[in-house]
Amino acid sequence: MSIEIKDVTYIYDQGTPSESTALSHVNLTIQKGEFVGIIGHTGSGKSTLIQHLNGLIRPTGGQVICDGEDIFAAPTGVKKKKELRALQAAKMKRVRQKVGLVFQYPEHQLFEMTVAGDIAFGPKNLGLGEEEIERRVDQAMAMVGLSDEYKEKSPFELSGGQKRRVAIAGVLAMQPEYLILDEPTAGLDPRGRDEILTQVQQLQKQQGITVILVSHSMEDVAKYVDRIIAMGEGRVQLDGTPREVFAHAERLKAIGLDIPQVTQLGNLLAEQGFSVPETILSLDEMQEKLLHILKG
Amino acid sequence: MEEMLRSEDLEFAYTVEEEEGATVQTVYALRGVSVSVRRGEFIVVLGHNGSGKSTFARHVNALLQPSGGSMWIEGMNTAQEDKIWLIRQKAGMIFQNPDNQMVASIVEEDVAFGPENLGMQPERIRLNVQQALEAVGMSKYRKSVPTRLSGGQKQRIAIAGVLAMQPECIVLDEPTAMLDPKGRREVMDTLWKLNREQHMTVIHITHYMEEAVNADRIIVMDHGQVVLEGTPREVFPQVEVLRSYGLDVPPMTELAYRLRQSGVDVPADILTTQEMVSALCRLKSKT
Repeated sequence: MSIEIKDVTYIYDQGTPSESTALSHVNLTIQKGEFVGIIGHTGSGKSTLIQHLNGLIRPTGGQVICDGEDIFAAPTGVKKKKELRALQAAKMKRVRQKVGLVFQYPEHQLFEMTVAGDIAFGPKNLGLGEEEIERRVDQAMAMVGLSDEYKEKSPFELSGGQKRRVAIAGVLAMQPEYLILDEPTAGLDPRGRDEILTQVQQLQKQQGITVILVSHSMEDVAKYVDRIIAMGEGRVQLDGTPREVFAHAERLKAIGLDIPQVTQLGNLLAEQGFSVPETILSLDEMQEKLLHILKG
Repeated sequence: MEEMLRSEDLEFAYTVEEEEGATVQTVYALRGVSVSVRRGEFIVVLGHNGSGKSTFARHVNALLQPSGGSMWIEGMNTAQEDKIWLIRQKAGMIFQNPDNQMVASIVEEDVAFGPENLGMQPERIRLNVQQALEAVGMSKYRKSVPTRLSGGQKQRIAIAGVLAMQPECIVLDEPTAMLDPKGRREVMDTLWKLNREQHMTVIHITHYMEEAVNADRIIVMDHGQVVLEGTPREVFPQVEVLRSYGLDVPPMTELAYRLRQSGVDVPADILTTQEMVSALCRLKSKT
């Protein structure tokens, strides 16, 4: 099971003077169960890319294949237009339920009177029964670490970090198999940032949900994800484990990105003759390395 | 040095009605905040979400009025209604989302919006816009469409819009929160340049600790109060205190703290990778 992006090209405003290519022949496979980080400067194509993953935008060229199903291909063997449209719509609904997308600043999209009401909105639209909806709301709230007492509160009385959890719970209540988060920690303080990312990591590790995290923080991706995809100029520039990707400091800087400060320290120490052969990704690693060097 | 702004025992309270006005609860977003900022200072304000930093910032240019105490800009009390426009011209404000701050369809018109509203002469507006765009390094984009620019460029245009009004002080409420690493660097470089070359007073609110390491002074807020104040070298080594306020320290200060805990003799007030490299090289040459 996987999401495959096959030779996808996307051109905004095609055929107009403002035509611009956002994605150019991108090939990617995201396997079920992975924790993938997508990095790239604004305009690198990462937002366009994630909107393809759940069929929000249709590629200008190429295919998006979700669990073996080409999500934009017309169903075969059907002649009637009406029937065709119904089949397409049903498929899209299936894909969007399977691939949940949490936008940037999702708390701006909260609108119900209560937290529980907001989280129940998606499951209600799926036409589920009352009991099932309630079960899903409870489950989703537990998954993001919101206790029961928040259920009847207005989402607008909550702190920024809590509101964001409610928004994420709303998507989790749809029971997606793939969860895409577009900068879920933007504007949160350090504690809120760590809480949300730890929670997301648990979803991936314990529930087996595939997580695709778009982030501007090199520190965060180094700490949490298993694989990094670096986008630049509408193409995949680097794709590998954090250790592999952050070994390319110059390449990353050239596409407007950076490496974590601790990785930078490792590189500087290596230049000064310290024995730091590998790319360092965390303070824990660096601390261990230095204690070994200095104290033997 | 001359004083730019001062808050005296500043308090901001608002009431929350629960269940159709039944119980009324008073919430204090600011409680007795007394801060003095000198002209030309670069101040960074830290604090977790809801600590009162933004509420404080909104008092500087009279977007909010105190419910107790007072706020003074160059000797003017922000409660004086007839001074509000002068105060807003003196203290410009930049917010988190650059897209919400764009008003015109061409960059130079956007930058001219503020001075036009102040009723400046067209000749002077032209000159101010030109100088402001130069100061943020965006002159060659003056005829561009703002929506087509990157996040960092949009924020620099927003800063130029404030500069064109010739302020004495800029207050920025998490201007880098939505930006990629390059955009963040562009905005921070611009602020440093304005501070050093034009002696601009800067009050910068951020969640990125590394943006605070070069500040003249850090103010830490918690529950509507100032709980810690000092230079980065005074503030950041207090790792446990900062953690208790839900904050981090810069990665290199954290590493120094951990090494010291393990008995390695590095200075506690290391802030940058360069400083860490020097300290470690000194240690290594001894062994």
